[in-house]
Amino acid sequence: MAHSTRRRTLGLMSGLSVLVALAACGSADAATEDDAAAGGTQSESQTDAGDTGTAGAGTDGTAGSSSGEFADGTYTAEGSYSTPGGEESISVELTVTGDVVSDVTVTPEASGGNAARFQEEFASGVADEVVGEDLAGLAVDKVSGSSLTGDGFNAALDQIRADAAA
Amino acid sequence: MPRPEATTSFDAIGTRWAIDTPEPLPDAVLQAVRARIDRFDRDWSRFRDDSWVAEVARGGAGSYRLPDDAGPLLDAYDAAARCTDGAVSPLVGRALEGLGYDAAYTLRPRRDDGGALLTAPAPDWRTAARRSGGTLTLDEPALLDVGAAGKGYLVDLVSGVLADHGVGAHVVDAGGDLRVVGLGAGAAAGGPLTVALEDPRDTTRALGVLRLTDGALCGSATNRRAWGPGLHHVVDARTGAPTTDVLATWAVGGSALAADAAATALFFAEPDLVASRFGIRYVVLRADGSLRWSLGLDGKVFA
Repeated sequence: MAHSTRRRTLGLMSGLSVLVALAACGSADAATEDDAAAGGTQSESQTDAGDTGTAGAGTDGTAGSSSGEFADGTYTAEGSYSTPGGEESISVELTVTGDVVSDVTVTPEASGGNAARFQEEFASGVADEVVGEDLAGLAVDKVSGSSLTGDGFNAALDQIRADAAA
Repeated sequence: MPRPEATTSFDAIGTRWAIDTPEPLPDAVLQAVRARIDRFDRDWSRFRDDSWVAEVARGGAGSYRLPDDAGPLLDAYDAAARCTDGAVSPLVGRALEGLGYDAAYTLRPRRDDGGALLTAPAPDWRTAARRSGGTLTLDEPALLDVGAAGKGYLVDLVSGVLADHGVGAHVVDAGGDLRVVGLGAGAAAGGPLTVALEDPRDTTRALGVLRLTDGALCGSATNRRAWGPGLHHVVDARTGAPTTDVLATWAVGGSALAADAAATALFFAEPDLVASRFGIRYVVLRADGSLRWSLGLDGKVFA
């Protein structure tokens, strides 16, 4: 259980690192022992966020449980990376519920200029196994999904189903 | 815009349209809207044999004078082809026909003796076609299909017709592809349009709710316009086969053309690359059930 949770988390975090690398031409990576993406630095919230020379212990270490499993709660980590405009940072927040990462949020903390603009444009969230909410309970004006299909298409589909059933 | 607004609904180009306006739409404006849609259909539909697209398909390789409105639409395809390594292409018409999505809605794919789908790559939009001025030159025969961006573009064109007739605030909805104009002027204007993102795996559920005051939201998913297991309309031009990695995408942008083209490109490319090329924000649901979304979206994702 602990192992699968950890792997899922690594997948999420490496996804996030791609975003930051793309966004700012720098790199920030949730460094772990089996995540080989090079060049980034990541420090945990307990450590000095500005310690850019040291790779962090990885997100599973952040949970801090001796068994290696996550305790329920919200975990925050700071990441920093170099840009031509200077040092920039992001904040990564993980929410853990029932030993599963239920939410990941990346918050840009760029000081200004292009880095702030890029971070704002490209920061993204990632979640696995999204469940969603009941549509009937939402007060909305519209619903967007795949285009509703016209009568001709639906009639043809009905014909195929009838043929298949015959 | 006070709600409920006046809504005008009709069917065109194979989908349901709804136009929301503060006042009932005058007949003359509705006629202008319908005429614009009809003109687009006569040019770009591959489902009628008197269209420009059908004429090009019959003519084979050669040069053709483009419809007057082709520029922005094909520019969007150029951008989508570049950021998806050719996966998005307006030359996928024959591939879709081979899968059964043809003018007669045969919906029966070509298969080999073992039952496997018979697919073939579509001509590469980046190399097999060239545009110069108002002329399109095809090096090989091709059936155009502008399903990836055409509907969004038409939503923009209809929005433009409304603006030309003095209908300032409006919502144009073509089967869930939306262009919103003028809902940003505070509570008196009715506030933002709220839009639920339908979960393609269970259409009674929503993956999020977005707000729009000015701009466009387009979505694409493989659950509708689907006619069998693995048979749907989002085709990879490089293989000619329906794509499988992504279930649904949404893009929010300034124009419905950009949002629609981006929504298709999001099936095939790194989302942030698509976001930068089209100036959009996105939500992507992958086949493994994971969700990725731009934090800059106005709204909430239920993740």
